[in-house]
Amino acid sequence: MARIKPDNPPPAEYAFGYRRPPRSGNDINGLGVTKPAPAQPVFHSAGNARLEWQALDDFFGVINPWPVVRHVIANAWQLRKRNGPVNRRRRAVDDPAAMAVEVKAAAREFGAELVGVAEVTPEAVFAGRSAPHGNAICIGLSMDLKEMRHAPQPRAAVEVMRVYRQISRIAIRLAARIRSWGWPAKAYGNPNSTDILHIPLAVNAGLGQLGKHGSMISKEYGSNFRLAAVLTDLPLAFDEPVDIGVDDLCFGCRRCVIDCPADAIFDVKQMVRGVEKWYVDFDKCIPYFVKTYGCAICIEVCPWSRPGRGGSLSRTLLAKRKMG
Amino acid sequence: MRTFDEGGGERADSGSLKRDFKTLRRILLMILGYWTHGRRVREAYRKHEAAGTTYWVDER
Repeated sequence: MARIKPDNPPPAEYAFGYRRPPRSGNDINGLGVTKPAPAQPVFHSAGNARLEWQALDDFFGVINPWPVVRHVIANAWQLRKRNGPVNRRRRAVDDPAAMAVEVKAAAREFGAELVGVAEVTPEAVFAGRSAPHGNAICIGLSMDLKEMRHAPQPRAAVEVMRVYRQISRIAIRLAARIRSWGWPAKAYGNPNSTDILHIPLAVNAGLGQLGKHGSMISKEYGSNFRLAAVLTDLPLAFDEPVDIGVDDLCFGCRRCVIDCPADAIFDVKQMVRGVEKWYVDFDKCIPYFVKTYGCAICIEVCPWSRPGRGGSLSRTLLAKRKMG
Repeated sequence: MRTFDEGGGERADSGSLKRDFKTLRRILLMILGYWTHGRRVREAYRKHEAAGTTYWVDER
């Protein structure tokens, strides 16, 4: 399949703005900060919290086309069942590894395409928020590439929200299954589950690696997938982070950097809250994200997102690294 | 009384009805907001876009 090209991206010029600009999102995110610190929520809120960039988030919510909002509303309705009562008869778990296999099979039965288990570490929880349980089951679901090829047009935004709705349903069903075994479990469906950070959890759960464009890259789907999670106390064996060679490609590849109309993607890793990692300029990315109802150019032009490409790309990159 | 089946089925009780009602109320407000205040915002934004001026998101 030929390289995906952005579908007529509009220029990074905006007919909206702040009269009194909020604090830079990069400052809030800790860009340039060398000391480790928990992430601060900045955009996409859950509950009643007013975030620094809330006015733009509210604007984003109402300018989205109805087919997108319809999925958001259906998702909010189903997520009322994210938590619930736990069966009083608890199933004993002698072998967390066998339990993890069973949980992953259940997640796949419900429709998840990627599944992994990780510990909920402090860096995966937003400042001032808490995680109710210590284990995270991270799940991924791919988007329809035929629809996503239309990024940054609204058709791609509809597909993104359709997949968020579908993956939330999977997480809700998985959490209910675990509660039926007598263990507490809560489903976290995106994009407004702002107690936890899905990417650090999914990286630790071995679903993929962080890419230059600030999104996850998996061997199976590149960046063309979305995340959800179930947090639980069910004893489970943890997966290990994977190395599929993402950095080997990202250091030399400039595809997302070139194709980003907002010029928001850094060519080198940045220091963010004490960790050197790939980072996207929030103040440049978010206005374009809002203007285009979610953009998604960078994740679709990524070479890893080409169907069937990830496996061979990973093998080639890792072999090259071995040869020095 | 709350009961479970394998598969996580959950029978409706007063707690879940209250939760459903709260969510339904929130969703109805979201829909109403999208078609009333939201429509005004979209129209104003389009006008600014056509005129080449700026719609201030932090001013209502």
